[in-house]
Amino acid sequence: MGLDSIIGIANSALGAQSQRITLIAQNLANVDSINSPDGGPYQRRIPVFEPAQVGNSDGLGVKLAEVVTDQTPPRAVYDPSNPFADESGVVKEPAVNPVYEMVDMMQASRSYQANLSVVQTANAAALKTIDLLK
Amino acid sequence: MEILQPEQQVMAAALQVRAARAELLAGNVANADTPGYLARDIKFDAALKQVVENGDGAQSDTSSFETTLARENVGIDRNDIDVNEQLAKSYENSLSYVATLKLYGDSIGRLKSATASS
Repeated sequence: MGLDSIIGIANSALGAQSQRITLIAQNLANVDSINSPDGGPYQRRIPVFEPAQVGNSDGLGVKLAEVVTDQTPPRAVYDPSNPFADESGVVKEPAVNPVYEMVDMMQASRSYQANLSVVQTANAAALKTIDLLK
Repeated sequence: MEILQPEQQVMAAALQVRAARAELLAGNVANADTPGYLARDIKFDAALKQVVENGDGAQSDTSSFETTLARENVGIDRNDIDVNEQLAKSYENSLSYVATLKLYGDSIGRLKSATASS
């Protein structure tokens, strides 16, 4: 228990939110990737968070539990000139919505900032506690 | 005779409860995007009473006075965290911590000057 474990909790969230932003960047970067290594178009990745024990504190930190793949069917785009088009001229493009990803990114960024301000609050209180020794 | 006055013991206990509460509030902010996570908090007055009654608060188990407050506004992800609310609570808790700390430090300072050899 203590102010140091608060920083540990906030730190776990900062890490988890960074990983989330990394996945969003990956989704946005692959918005037009029609041929992924797994075959077929790129499928967007979704982070799943779960509470995690940090040290022996009462408050719970957070961790990235798993990364799931969005099973939404790919977008069908008619483009017969594309070498990846099927016999009816349809190309399967990733079901990634850039608008959705941007909104998700803003939310992740806000959560990151919220945890930073928790660190600042804990830090200010810790400094005042150390001042008692003066 | 106890060196610390009763009010100083209460202040020390209050600091412990504030620190424990700050942890839970930090956990709430950290889990703002965790599906199925419900806000956790402690009732300050009940927790303070418990620490004071247990005598030496340092050994009392702070996890025992944890409560999960059932809330109405649970989203589709079964998460009821309002980040702004939790941050405000965290600031308020921190302010009370620092205020208690100031009072405690001042009273210890008076004790120090009273016991200082002239």
